[in-house]
Amino acid sequence: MTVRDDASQTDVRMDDDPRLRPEREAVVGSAGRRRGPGRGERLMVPRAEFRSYYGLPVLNEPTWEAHDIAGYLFLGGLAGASSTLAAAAELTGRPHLARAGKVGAVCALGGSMYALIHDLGRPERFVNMLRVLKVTSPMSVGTWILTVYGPQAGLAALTSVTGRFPRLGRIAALGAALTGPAVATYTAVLVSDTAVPVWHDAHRELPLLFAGSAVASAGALGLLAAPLEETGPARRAVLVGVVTEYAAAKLMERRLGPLVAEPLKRGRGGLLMRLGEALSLTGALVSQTAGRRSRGAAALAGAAVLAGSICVRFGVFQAGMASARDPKYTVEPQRARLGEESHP
Amino acid sequence: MRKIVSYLPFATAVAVTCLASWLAGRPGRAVPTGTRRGERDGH
Repeated sequence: MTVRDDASQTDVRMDDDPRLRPEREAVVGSAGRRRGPGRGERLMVPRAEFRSYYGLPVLNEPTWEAHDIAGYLFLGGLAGASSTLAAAAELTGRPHLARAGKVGAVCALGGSMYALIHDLGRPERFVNMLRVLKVTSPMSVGTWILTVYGPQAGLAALTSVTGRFPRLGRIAALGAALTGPAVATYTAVLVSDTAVPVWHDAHRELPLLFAGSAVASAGALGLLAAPLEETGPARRAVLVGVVTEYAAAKLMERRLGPLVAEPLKRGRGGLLMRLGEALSLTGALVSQTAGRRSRGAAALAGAAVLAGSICVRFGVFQAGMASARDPKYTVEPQRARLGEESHP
Repeated sequence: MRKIVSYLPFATAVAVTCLASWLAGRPGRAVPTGTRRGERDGH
């Protein structure tokens, strides 16, 4: 039995144009336009309004705990920036500030390693990460950065406290100072490289925000720990860090737009961000005024900036989690982008 | 209560960092400045 190819096709032509092949080349909606203004194709179903399936989240919320991961973000930043500040203090002849920075860095590193391993579940999982170096994976690169940085920071602190092998200690301090900025900022890349809307969309400003926050917290630790005559670099670090952190946060909120930036302004994330900014700005102001003359005021300013930096890290973390929970932060920006592509 | 307890390790880490840093940076404590053992404390 012979079946003709065109037997399965329809002769219905939407445009009544014999040059167009049926079905495939007919343009939907063009028929309506040809009939004159005001008589377009009538929608047979109402325009779709976004609702996810039973209001369930589109993304799986990260299983990260705030005290582990936000704590790790803060402590890692504090450790990395403290090593850099300590090396700068050592090179400019401020031994007390240098030693405070080195000891602070190794303690913060210990805390951040505890948080990281607690999140991973078992210490072997960290060691397993060292079997490969994958440059496209922020987690793999981060593991190697920590592995290179950790022993150097430890050696720098040990030689500084004991006074033994000072030359080796200086080399280790310089090594830790060079890898410290990477420790402080790679976490921004780590969270940006997820599908969580606030973190992913903020990938341009987040490293800057984390860098500012880390520098401010390292300066704050210096203000808390070092004698007043050596706190000059710590005060400058606080000022530069707080200004960078504040500017990056504002730039991030502006670029994300009103919808995606909403979790950074409202809810728990918004509250922590506002509190962090207020504490950091107040601390920076006190450190530049009364903190120059009074040891107590400098310590108070340091404590405020340190608390502000903690709030900002936890705020970014909570805002990201809130954006993963609510499906509108995932789908509405996607729909807006699709609309822009179809109507450039 | 359980949630507050879960933040204790983080709070402890911050407190230990601040305390250790303060102890290390105290002005009363001698800081080795020499590059050789004999040069310490100006000797």
